[in-house]
Amino acid sequence: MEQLIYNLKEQIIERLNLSDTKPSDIDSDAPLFGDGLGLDSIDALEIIVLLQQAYGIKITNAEEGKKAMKSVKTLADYITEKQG
Amino acid sequence: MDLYINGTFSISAFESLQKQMADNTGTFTCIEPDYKQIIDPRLLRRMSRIMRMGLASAIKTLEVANVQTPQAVITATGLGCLDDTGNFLVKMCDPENRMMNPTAFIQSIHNTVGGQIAMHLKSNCYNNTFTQDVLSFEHALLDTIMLLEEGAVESVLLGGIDELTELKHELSSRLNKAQKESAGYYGQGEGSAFFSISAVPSPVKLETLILSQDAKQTDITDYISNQLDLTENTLIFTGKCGGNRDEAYKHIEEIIKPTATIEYKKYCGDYPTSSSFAVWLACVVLQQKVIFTVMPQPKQIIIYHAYPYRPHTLIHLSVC
Repeated sequence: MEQLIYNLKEQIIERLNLSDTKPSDIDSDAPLFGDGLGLDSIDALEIIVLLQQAYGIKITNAEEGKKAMKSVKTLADYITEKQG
Repeated sequence: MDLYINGTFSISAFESLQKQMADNTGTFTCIEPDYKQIIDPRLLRRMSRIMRMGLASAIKTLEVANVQTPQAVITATGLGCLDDTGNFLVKMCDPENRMMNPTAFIQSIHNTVGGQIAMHLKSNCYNNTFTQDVLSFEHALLDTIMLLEEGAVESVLLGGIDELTELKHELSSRLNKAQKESAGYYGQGEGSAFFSISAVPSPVKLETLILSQDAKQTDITDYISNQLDLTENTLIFTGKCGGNRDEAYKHIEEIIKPTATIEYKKYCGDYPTSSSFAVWLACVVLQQKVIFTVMPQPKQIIIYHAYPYRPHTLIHLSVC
């Protein structure tokens, strides 16, 4: 799980061009949107594309996606559950 | 109505009139400022180079002109947000790729820079982007003049912007464009130049813009012959690029000689909206921020732009 969380942080940094951010700067439990990393709706789309391209996971249910994308930790849990 | 350029800012390859600007690849790449000093870093991360160049130039121009919010934003670009367009199209051509990244798609349209400026200013004023290849800037300038003269608005933020990307290089090579140019071709370039224009008097006056309507450029030659005094410390900027296309200037050279002439693409390279760079250079020369040592300080500058089989254009600026 720790490795997956680290990989996710690296992928988010690269995909969302967070050039001044290191994986260690991202709190795994902090909200991705709003206060935490301050991401927005276009970033949400980028993360949806990332999940499909890197993990083969397609989010079809909006509510499920909303829950999954609360933080890096919930995203990793979602991936683990879907791949399990 | 008399119109004036109240403020201008440019990001280009230009450093000084004495320096060769092309890099060792024969291209003219912009010397870019530290964008974090001009644009909110949180917004920067998603912006491509052309968006950074455009928005930074727009912000600095409004600062120089001391204008909070212009009543119209008019941008010109020949090729638009080329980097994002290239990214999007290359990924679309990959049969393995079933999902497209949204950012490149959203930002690949030609009016992205105009839209970003509007969002930055929180302004829903008139916002238009002109994309007519090498005449994009001239059409945007024409719209600016018409809006101001009709009294529809009192101030316009006008800009011309194009970027040079690896994809453009590659495609140009495939089309054998480089081979078609003669050995003296100055090279491809890029740049962003913005202007705040209104009827409020300023040192630089926008005298006229002519987009020639006939093959013999009659309206331009008439203007030069009958309405201009070329002996009056005049400098002429031509858009000659050192290539085969320069044949288009032959006719006008007979009329303007022996007036002092500068080929402005030696300083910025060849790109669709390079005439916006010429207007910026004319503004700084007229205000003596850049000095030509070879001639007396000009009182007026004529920018002449000619491409084969396209309307020729003339922009006349003077110092007040």
